[in-house]
Amino acid sequence: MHLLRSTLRELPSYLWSGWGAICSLLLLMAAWQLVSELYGSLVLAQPLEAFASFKHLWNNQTLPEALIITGRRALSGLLLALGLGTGLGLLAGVSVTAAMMSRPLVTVLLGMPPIAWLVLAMLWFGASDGTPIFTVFVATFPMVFIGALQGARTVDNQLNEMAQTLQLPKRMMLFDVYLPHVFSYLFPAWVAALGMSWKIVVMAELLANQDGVGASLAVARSHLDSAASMAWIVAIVLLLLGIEYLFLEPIKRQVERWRVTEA
Amino acid sequence: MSSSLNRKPVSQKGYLLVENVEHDFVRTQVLQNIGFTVQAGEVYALVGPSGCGKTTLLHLCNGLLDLQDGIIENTFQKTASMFQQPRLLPWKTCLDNMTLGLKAKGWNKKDRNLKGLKLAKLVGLQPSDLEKFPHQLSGGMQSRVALARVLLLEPDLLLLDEPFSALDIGLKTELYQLLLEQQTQQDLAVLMITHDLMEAVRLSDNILLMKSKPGRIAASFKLTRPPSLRDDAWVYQTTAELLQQPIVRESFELPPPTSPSPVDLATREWSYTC
Ligand SMILES: Nc1ncnc2c1ncn2[C@@H]1O[C@H](COP(=O)(O)OP(=O)(O)OP(=O)(O)O)[C@@H](O)[C@H]1O
Ligand SMILES: [Mg+2]
Repeated sequence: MHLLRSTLRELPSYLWSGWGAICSLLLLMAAWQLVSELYGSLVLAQPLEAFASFKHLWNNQTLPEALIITGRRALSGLLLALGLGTGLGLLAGVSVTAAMMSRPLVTVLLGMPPIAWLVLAMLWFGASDGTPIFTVFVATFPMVFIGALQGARTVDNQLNEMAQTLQLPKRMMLFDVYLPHVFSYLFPAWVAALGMSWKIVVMAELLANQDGVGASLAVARSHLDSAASMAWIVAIVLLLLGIEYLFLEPIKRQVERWRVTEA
Repeated sequence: MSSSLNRKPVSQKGYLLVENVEHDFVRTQVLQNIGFTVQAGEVYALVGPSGCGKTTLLHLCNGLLDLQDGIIENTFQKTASMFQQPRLLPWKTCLDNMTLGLKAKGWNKKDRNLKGLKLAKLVGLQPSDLEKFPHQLSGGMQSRVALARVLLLEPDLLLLDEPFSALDIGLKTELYQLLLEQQTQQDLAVLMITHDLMEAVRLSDNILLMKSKPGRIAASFKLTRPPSLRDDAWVYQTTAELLQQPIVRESFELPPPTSPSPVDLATREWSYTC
């Protein structure tokens, strides 16, 4: 509750600091305009065309519907990975043997390109929801797992001893000593997993599904509709930016206040 | 001035008894045949060269290390330990760090902050510092927070591991005063580690001198003058006298004194046993 309140309090100044970001985005827009004028609308639609197409897709409900479908898939896979990754990672972190055994496995999982998983998932789940959900899950699980494992393994024994001599009850041990430390490792992993899940789900849908943002992008491409393609891409990027800067970044600032040296 | 006068029978007031304690870390002996007793109202200082096992001994006393051999009996009600490092929780503000022990005892936030604020003033922390996180404080401020954290518990036995080593002389003097006040008011027993012989001479009733490899007690000095009557001149004089002792020089691996003793040992106010 306290967290929410101070997050809201800092929101205006945070938003104000966004002007710099907006400026650089406008520069990118200008570059986009330049390239599309050089190579023509067929190769790269002009920004205004793309936005018109965006508006059209939004008004006839295709875009929101697709976003909801895609979002549901990404979130399902992500939540699965967050839950299992955090739980198993913490367990593995508590036991030295489990940590040693799981580390190479997770390294293999991390190194495996998502597209390889996608191929397997298409074999197993076909064009169902299972394919994107599974792909998101396997691609993000190892990141979360490693974060949880590191967090649990690096709990500071000195602080632990201090807490022992102060006779902290079990509940305070957990909430005041262990969890804040573990969370400082887990949270960045969760954030990375969230960004990753959004990209993976689009890729999976593009190749495997009939609906969702990725599939719509594939359709637009097959119609050689450059404006619509760009509109979909804009939608994907906007959503990612929105989540990152309006949701995650303010939380991160609050959660990690004790870490950063305030500027 | 009270410490030796109003000493009560051992059984009522609590005591810390250490007898024949030995300790090994993976095949090397760190402590050998350690024995002493600290009673309520007494201040014991543990001095000795670096690495002789002082911290190890303290951790045996506060239960962080398991006793391997010998007897340690602690009948005090509330034992509080301060470590060689501040050991503050980096994600909690100073005030929350200070009052952590009170929180563990179930105090509500208002009461513990009130008590914390009062003590913060005594250890020389500004109210504005209390809202900061540990990484925003200097080393000396951090160790004051750590000292306040143990004093807030109102213990009857204090185990201190070099509590004043990160502080400047002015602050040291202030905190010596604070510690002695608390100690006489509450009949507090203190076992403190220090590198600084002068600090030991200023504060303690008994100095345990340790020797290394393996760590053992080479000599025990008893200071007879009450701490409240020790002025600077007396402290310098006594420290100099102690430093003349061959056993002290040997334990710190100092070369033998070059000039014949400039101090007059006839007026000394201490005695020692090996
Ligand atoms: N956990 C440990 N495992 C193995 N050896 C240890 C361990 N802790 C301490 N030692 C060894 O025990 C000896 C005594 O260490 P201790 O920390 O008690 O020294 P100290 O007297 O407190 O030194 P200082 O004054 O520098 O703090 C040292 O030689 C150290 O290397
Ligand atoms: Mg030590």
